[in-house]
Amino acid sequence: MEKIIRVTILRENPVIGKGSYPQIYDVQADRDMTILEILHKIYFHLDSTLAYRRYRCGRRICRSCEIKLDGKIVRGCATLLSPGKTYRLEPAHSSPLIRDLVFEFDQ
Amino acid sequence: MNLTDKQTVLTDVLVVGGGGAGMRSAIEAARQGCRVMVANKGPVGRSGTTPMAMEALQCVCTPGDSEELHFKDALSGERYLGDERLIGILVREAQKRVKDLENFGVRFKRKTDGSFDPMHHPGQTLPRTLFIQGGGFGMLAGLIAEARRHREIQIMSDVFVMRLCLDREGVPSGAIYLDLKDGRIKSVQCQAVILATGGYEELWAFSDAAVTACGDGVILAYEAGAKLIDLEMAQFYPTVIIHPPSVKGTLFQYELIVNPEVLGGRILNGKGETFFSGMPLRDDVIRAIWKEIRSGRGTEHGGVLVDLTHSSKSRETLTASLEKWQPNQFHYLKDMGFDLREVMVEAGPHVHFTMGGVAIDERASTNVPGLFAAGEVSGNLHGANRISGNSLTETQVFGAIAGSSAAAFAKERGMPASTKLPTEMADALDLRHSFSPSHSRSLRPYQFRQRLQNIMWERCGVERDAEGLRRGKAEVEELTKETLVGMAVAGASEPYPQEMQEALEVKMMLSLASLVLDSAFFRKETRGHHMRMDYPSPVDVPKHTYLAKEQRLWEGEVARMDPSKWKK
Repeated sequence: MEKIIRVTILRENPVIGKGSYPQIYDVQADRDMTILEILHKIYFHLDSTLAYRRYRCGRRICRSCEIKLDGKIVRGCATLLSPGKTYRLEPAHSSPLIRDLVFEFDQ
Repeated sequence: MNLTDKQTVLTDVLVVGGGGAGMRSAIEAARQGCRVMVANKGPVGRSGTTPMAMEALQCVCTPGDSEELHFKDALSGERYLGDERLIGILVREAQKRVKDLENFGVRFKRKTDGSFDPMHHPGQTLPRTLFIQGGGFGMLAGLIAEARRHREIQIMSDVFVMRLCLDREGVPSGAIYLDLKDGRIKSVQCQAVILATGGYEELWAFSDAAVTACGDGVILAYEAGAKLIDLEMAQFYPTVIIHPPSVKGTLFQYELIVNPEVLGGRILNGKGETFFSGMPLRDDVIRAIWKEIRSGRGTEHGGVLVDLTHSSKSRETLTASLEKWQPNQFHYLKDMGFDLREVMVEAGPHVHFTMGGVAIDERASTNVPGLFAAGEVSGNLHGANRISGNSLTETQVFGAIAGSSAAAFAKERGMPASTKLPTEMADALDLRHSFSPSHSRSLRPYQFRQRLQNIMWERCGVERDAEGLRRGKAEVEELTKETLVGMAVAGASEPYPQEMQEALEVKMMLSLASLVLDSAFFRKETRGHHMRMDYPSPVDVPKHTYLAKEQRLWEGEVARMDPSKWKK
């Protein structure tokens, strides 16, 4: 049976300079899905403007998909979210933020 | 808003790609006094293929082993299509480059007596696979740390090189790139270019490689007039997880599963039967697996089963072995709910590596002066079947050579006269202009990409024949026409213009797919991973498939080495 995973994503385009705002997405799911799977689903089917890093090393070591889930930093490839529940997603680090969930690693 | 950066960055050597080969080449060019700019499509160290690489790096390290044996193992494993000059260099330089890595802080598994503790992988006369602590990710971290010690090296994350600029003599003088950090199109001027962009696994629907492995460097080289070689040679890896979906795409090494000394496991068909024995090379395992799947003996999701639940090892020994040899994968899968000691997972063939690419010589030089290539982007080292562990060795050996060659070229050339790249910049801006969110009737780039990947998997996958390849070519041409009508791209000038990047990648991938199909059609034999159902046997004397912009396709001799050279 299809259920909904509801995620509220904190979005921001620093170039516009209007600060951040939350956006709610309801994702159809019939099983637990990783955060990365959910972001793919949003980007492919709900919102082509959402910025996040699509890369996955497949071994939970690279931290490319690092993200803040309900205030706690986790790996998007290895963290499962369940249907019927609501979650909040934010960039793992916001300085310097590139856009939405994407930040610079190097500096 | 002015979307171009007026300032052109100046450097001596531009390295496109910041993985194992790119970083090693940057270090070498900097050591020779050159300013280097490394342009990496994602965050450096956390993107591309090297961080996904297994722990394996092949290098002679066991008493009784020799460079000559490494050479012979590679040559036969590669089904005699590998360039013997390049294989010779690989085996002779490997030990020096391993020492370099250790100096950079990279660690290899050692026994208690301090000697290397290598793995015995299929196709090796003696154990020769060094185990890198932290895998490719750990190796790259060491290289990046070393690169940062050189003030001459500027590392740029999140920049996508769109095209190379050539001077009037056809020598690379710069590049146009999309800076993903701010969405602007910018230019860099340089005296030499090293391509280290990795492979083109993303052309196929089933690939375990990086989402960014679109063959950028191969197309950049082709557009600049470089010869490409053996593009039809894509390596399939037998045991990449296809089900359950949350861990889909995770590679678990069959070399360890079926090794009775390591995990003592089995690969089973959908009926729970074993169907091969011993530790065959990758191309032979793929043939065996494909036969099971094609004959209706696959699993529910069209694969085979990885089974450690009946391991010949005791549970304690198996656990210790998993901890020792596949700790990341084991714990990742376990935490995701799939403890391999207790459950089987479904795995199937994925494109894992592309042997074909840009043709290089012993100095890592292409036929275009000033254009060098190293690592997976290059095409004549691994023949028809790369053997396990040789790719990370390749990144170090040929990365160092490319860095040294490019530095020498840059010093002799001096800075090109013109500091402006107006035509190429205008083209790039026009191209971006052609992508628009208002093309609401058009497909988005990821949709074009999926369609291309399905065509390639269907027509140019594990099994190939003339009819399928011909159809594949027509389908790719049709798809290319559709992209010319327009692609729906959101936020092409915004920071992190993901769809703009994907649109550019689709264009490159369509061009490259067409060339891969041509090459696969041209090679009328079965060799290594190129399985032609209409030509099921290998020809007596293997030849390279060459391809270049003006000359199209032709056949070339495989370089052989004088065997007496091995005699000391």
